[in-house]
Amino acid sequence: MKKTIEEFVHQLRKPGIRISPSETLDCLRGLEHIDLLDKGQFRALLESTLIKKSGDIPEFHRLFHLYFEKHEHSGTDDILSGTMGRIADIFSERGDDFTSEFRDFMLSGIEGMMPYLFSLPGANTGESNPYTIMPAYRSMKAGERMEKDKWGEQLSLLLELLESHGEEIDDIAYIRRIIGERTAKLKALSRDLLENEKNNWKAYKTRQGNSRLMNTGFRALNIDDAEEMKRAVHELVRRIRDEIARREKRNSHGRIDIKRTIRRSQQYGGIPFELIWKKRKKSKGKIVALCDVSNSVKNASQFMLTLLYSLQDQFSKVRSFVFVNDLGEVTDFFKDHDIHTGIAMALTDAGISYNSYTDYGNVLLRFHENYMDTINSRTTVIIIGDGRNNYSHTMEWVLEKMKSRAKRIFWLNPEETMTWGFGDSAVLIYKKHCTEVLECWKVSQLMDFIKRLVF
Amino acid sequence: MFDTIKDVHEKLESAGYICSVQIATVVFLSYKLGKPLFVEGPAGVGKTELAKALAISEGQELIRLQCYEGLDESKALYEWEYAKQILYTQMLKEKIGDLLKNSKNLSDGVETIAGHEDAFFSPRFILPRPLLKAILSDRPSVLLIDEIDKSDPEFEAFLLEVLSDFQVSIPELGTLKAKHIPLVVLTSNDTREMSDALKRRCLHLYLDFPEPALESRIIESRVPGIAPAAAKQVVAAVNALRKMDLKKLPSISESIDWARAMVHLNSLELDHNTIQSTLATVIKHRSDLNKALENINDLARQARSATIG
Repeated sequence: MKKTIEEFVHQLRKPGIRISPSETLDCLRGLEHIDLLDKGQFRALLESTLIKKSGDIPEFHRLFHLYFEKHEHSGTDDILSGTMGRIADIFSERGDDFTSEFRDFMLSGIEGMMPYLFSLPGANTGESNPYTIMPAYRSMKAGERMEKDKWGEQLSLLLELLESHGEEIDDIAYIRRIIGERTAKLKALSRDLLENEKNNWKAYKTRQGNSRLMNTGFRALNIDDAEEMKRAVHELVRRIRDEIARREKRNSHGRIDIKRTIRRSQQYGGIPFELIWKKRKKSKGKIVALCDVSNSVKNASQFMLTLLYSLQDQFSKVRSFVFVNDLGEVTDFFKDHDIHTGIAMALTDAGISYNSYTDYGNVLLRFHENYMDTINSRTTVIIIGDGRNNYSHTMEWVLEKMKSRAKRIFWLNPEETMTWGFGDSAVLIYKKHCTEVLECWKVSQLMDFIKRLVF
Repeated sequence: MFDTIKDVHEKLESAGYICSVQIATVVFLSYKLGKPLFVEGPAGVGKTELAKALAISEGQELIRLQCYEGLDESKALYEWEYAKQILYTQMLKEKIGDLLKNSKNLSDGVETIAGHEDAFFSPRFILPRPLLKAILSDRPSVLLIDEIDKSDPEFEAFLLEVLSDFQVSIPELGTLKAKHIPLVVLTSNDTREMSDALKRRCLHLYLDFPEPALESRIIESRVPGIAPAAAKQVVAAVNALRKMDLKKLPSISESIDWARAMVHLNSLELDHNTIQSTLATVIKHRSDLNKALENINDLARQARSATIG
């Protein structure tokens, strides 16, 4: 049992679940307190001692099923268990005629075979490349081979010996059948284990992939990647938010509150044992964001929108707009809907024509007409777009006016710096009127920007 | 305390807590291995109730430490009772003269007073907070550390120390060791990921919404006077609600409320009208309510089919 659990722990670690030796030890110590035949209790023991993150539970259940439920052998069979003693005798008399795997298999059944399957030549040592698929493949082949050659001979020999030890013919036929079934199960098991290795390999690739994705341009991401990334951005923002909360708390107290300190000191005879601090007010900024959603930057703007959505509650007010050749407000979509619907609506329902040519000049004019009052000295303006204006009027004076009213203006450009100003790119003209224009074509740059924005 | 897993089952049940094999096993292991129990899961699935039931079933005291942002040692472990110390000083002022009668000079006087320091830093002036209470308790107790995820990381580190040794050192008094190791239950709503170090020391129990059959039994035991069929209908409807994309999914406490509402309204069946008039007991957000009302026919159908099938 100990070996099986160690092996199981090893398998759990492969897809990235962290289990410490002390936790394995807890699990082993727990074995004596439960009824091993009760699968529910057994599972509860393993789950409570080994799995400490709720996110790992589904993976645990999948592996538990594979290991302990799917291939459960027919259990205590009267005839077989009656014969067991005699089989053990034969093994001890003529041990050299049988391979150790065969003996293990006969005496302890399929569960006893688990460690064996994983200890085959070239099997995974867990160090150099823990995710290689070869050992499992070999063990599957070995499982098939075992049965094909030596395995069959050894089985016949064993049955002959049993007969000569006075076993009934009928019983022998029966035992042969049971063992045949078990061998088939063993084969199925090794196939499942191979499948499992493949899954581990995939999980490993995904984990590697995440860091790759951080440095891939938005444009190069396909739909699956994009979904994955949106989740990653959301998650990262959550972490940053925790960090903000922690920092705020650390510096949360301002000056001593004299009035309350004196009042509190009355109960100690006027000695100010306890100092009461004034709470510093959180200064949450305001954000006005304009996001280009034309086809040329669509991929990037999806991320920007995710970002805007996730940051809403970090600021006292966020006004979000999308534009192509006209400007549409999407603040309410974000407020009233969950992240997916909100962003989908921003990309279809803002009342602008999404397939037209981008016209920054017109967009700025519209903003000037209708929304200038959204900007005051506490507002950070974020403009997201490539600044490709299709050679129409740039109207940069609006931007200058916005700059004079706002705290700062950031422009995030999803194009690489070297292409700025070429062709119809007006970003260099606008650059003069922004606090800063930042290159932002991959997620890691976006994350850097968020940190600057919130701290 | 507990002899077998079955024993846990029965004792908890007698305390009004109906549990699954999983819960009973983990509680038993936590007791046998002497490890704290870390209970996680959505709000309202009975995490706190479990600790309460454990205390009731054994007739032990439940010592509860509710965590919140900014909770620190002085609120969790102990505090010197300044006011009391000062009061005593005031009252003993006149006595000081007698005490110093024989001192020849100032430094001699200081020595004499220093000899009596202990009088003011004695257990008499300590105000024990939940953790110290659990450690000093004369009888075995259940220590519930509720919503640990609300506390700060620094507090977590401090807790780690207390939970591994069950002793605290108070500089003026020395080290106090627990007379009985309490059964510790920590609960979390997973608003913050707890440190690996803390989790490693605990047994992890993830409580999810229970199986329908178990939930019906829970309702029947908590809501006297409910018909078994009605309980089944509530469970079916609540499970249908849990499949919807709601902001706050209804949990066991909401199903119990719903069942109570049915008893008070004398309704035997969860039909269209009953659902409409009582839905507010299970749904806590306006947008959720609208969503649920849109699907009210489906809910009624699910509820009905639960009793037919």
